[in-house]
Amino acid sequence: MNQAERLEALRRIIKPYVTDEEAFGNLTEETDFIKDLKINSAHLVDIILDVEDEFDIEIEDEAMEKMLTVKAALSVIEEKAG
Amino acid sequence: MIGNDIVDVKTACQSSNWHRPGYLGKLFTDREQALIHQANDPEQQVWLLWACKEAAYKAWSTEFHQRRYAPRSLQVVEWSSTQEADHFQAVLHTQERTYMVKAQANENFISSSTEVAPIHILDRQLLHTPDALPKQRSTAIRQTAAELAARHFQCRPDKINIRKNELGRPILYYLNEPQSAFLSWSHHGAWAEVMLGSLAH
Repeated sequence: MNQAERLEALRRIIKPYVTDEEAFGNLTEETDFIKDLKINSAHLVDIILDVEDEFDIEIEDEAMEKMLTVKAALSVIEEKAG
Repeated sequence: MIGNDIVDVKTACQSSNWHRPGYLGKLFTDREQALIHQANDPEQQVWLLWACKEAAYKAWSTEFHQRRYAPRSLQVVEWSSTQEADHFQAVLHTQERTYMVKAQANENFISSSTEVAPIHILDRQLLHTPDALPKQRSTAIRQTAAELAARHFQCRPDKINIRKNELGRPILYYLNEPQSAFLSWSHHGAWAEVMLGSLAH
């Protein structure tokens, strides 16, 4: 899976939890899940569990704590899923 | 530093599935999970613990100027009910600081707050805006925050400015000067709560 495909998969995962649709339309690597997309912090864990299922990886605490932006999430996925 | 959180019980019930495999393990320590499983109302306990973590996280983030998604690093080490029904107290540890968090629960919402000495929570306002659009709710919250600050500084609300810093925390300006007073707010579903903290007079 290349970077564009990973981003597309991540977009699909994030979509149901987004409350700011406009920000979701303008999603870039710099997009922040909480500040920009206004995702509830209790839903960030759903995104992390969905990412684990989708990419068949395990995200431990140290990796999870960085996953506040699209860029950070992609970098964790790339590192773990190769 | 202060921090607070609110959980709309109905919204949480509809939009979060805490039974999902792996969910509790990502958010809660073994000790916290034991508290959940022993509770008379495990679902309420989930959101009580979560609200306490969020309140402590906001105070932590403001003071240490950092953001991270590490709910298990804010550990509830003591949990107690108070004499008042449905009021609770938690002690949370982080590597840097210990937080005493107060929480209350009713059928509509769960609310939590923490204050770090010498700052005390001096004023708070609960908002119920079931029909508001997100933008309207956000305006109402900021207006309420400005009103609390105006009361504190004994000035008109239009002398108060509230800006979010790069961490997303609200910063209070009075006559365009940053102040040693702190705001914290939270909204979820139909409920919001705004708090103001400062040195006690």
